[in-house]
Amino acid sequence: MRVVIAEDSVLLRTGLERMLAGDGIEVAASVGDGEALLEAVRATRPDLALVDVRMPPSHTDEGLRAAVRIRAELPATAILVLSQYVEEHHAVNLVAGDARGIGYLIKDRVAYVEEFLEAVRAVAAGGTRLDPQVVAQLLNRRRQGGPLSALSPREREVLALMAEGRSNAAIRAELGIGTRAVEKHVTAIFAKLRLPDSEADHRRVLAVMTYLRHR
Amino acid sequence: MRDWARAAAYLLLGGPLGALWWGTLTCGVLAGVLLAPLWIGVVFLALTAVALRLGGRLERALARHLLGAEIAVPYRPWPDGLRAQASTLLTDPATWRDLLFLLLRLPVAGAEALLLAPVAVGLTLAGLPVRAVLTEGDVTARFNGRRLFTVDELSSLPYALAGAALLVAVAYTVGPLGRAHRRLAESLLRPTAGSRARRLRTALDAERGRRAATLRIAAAERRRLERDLHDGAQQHLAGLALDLGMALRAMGDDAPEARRLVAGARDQAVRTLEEIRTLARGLHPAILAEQGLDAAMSALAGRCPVPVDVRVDCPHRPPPEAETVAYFVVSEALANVARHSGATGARVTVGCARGVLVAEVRDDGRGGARAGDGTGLAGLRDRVAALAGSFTVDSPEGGPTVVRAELPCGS
Repeated sequence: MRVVIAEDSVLLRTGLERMLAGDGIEVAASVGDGEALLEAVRATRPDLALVDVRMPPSHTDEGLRAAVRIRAELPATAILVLSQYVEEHHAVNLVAGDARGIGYLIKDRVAYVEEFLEAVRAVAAGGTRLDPQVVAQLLNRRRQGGPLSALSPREREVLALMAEGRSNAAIRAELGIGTRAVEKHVTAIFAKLRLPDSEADHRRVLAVMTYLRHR
Repeated sequence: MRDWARAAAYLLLGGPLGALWWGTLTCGVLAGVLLAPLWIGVVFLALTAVALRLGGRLERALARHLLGAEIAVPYRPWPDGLRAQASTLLTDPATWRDLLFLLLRLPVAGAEALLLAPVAVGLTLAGLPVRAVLTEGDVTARFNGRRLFTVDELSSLPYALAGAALLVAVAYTVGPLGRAHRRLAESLLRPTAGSRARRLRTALDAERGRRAATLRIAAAERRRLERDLHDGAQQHLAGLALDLGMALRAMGDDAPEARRLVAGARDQAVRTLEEIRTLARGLHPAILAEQGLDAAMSALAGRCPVPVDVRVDCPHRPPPEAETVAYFVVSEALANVARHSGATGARVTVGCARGVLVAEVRDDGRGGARAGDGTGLAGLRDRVAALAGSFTVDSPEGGPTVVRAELPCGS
């Protein structure tokens, strides 16, 4: 697996390089701004781009804009965006119609190396990972009395994990419940929200995101 | 007595000063007009203008010190640039009122000089006994060479008394004359109502400008701090957390105590990151600058544990200062909703129309919120007031609570 890193903090960049290399992931290039990221991705065609949102020159959302362009030019490139602040709008811009091979995590997650590397591999393999904080934002910003209030607390937990991009097996492990129970909850959620059920995790994320955004 | 002496001095100065003003101003203007084809004419006119201003200032000072008049300086602020200065000088009503006052000085002093005649007569009569004693004989009073009467030491006394009475009578006119001069000076040299209003407006505009500049500087400073935090402490802490995570991974299971310590250090680094993030958001919300009010309000609502309905209707983007204050109003109000209100739901409404940005947070909680001193709400009131906006908290016992800010946004 080959990765391009875009991160303007040298400290964090070298840390990430070491972390990935230590886990047998090849770092094809590491750069410090959005333009350089685009060039590196075009030149090296990596499996995944690890992108910081705020980079020079404007220090606003260079990384995000570069990610959207990579998405359009080279859709096979998986993208994992890291940010000091997670905002649902960023997540929505990123996913924009296809949640496959997209990740959006708050920077703190790099401290939990095993989980972080798992997320890198999952996203590179076409999965989706949204930070629990983004999902919490999406779930909180809801009107009262809508279909979401019909969900049981357990179903809300399952919905949140689905929105993060977790598979049924991961949800089972996270909540410590059986396979049948997870399936039952997922079916109930899709029925209550009137969403088309889907086995593919990334399509599930998209359905849930779309639902949460446009209700 | 001292007032009398001052008023008398003022009256006595009237003649020479009036002559000086007439001389200076008429000569200056004449020279200026006659020499106008040459550049030197302009110099004369400028010098005349300077003399006029100086004259006005001197007369104002005299009226203040000798007559006790209360006169504020009426002139408009002196601009930069010759053209603007000339225009200010010509359009300022104070210029022409000064001119009128200076030109009136001579004729008024001329009229007052008539009083010198009774003074002379009084002095002459009062001096008769002295002259009689000095000459040891009769004294003959004459006028224009004609003999009027002859008196000796004794018979001159009634004349002397009459002369003294005449002098006292003249002395009594000094007070009323001084007061009349004071009224004249006050009515002409003072700022007019219009010019006072104009001065106030100018001062107010300047004050508004200073305040806006202060707010801009403060906002820029907050942005800079936020950026320093982001590029410095936050990145370093993230790097530190990453390194601690890597160390934990490399350690293996044979040193459980060390593992525990490193894991604790990593968790602490992550918690500190969260705290700095909250701090940075309070300084300058990155999402507001990046995405605008709608996205920022949604993000605030997303972080609130109580479900929040968000409605933002702003066709144009308000100025950043207004936007930022609206953001903090909603942020603080939602924090109160979560902490104190016991509400099960809240609604955020933000709209801009007719140059006013309105931000309102309404919840269905128990009410009783106060914007007292030292609370977050009081701080908001100050921030809103700094933008000349209005801030209200309506929170009867039993609810609902409505926090509302209206901010001028100049569109």
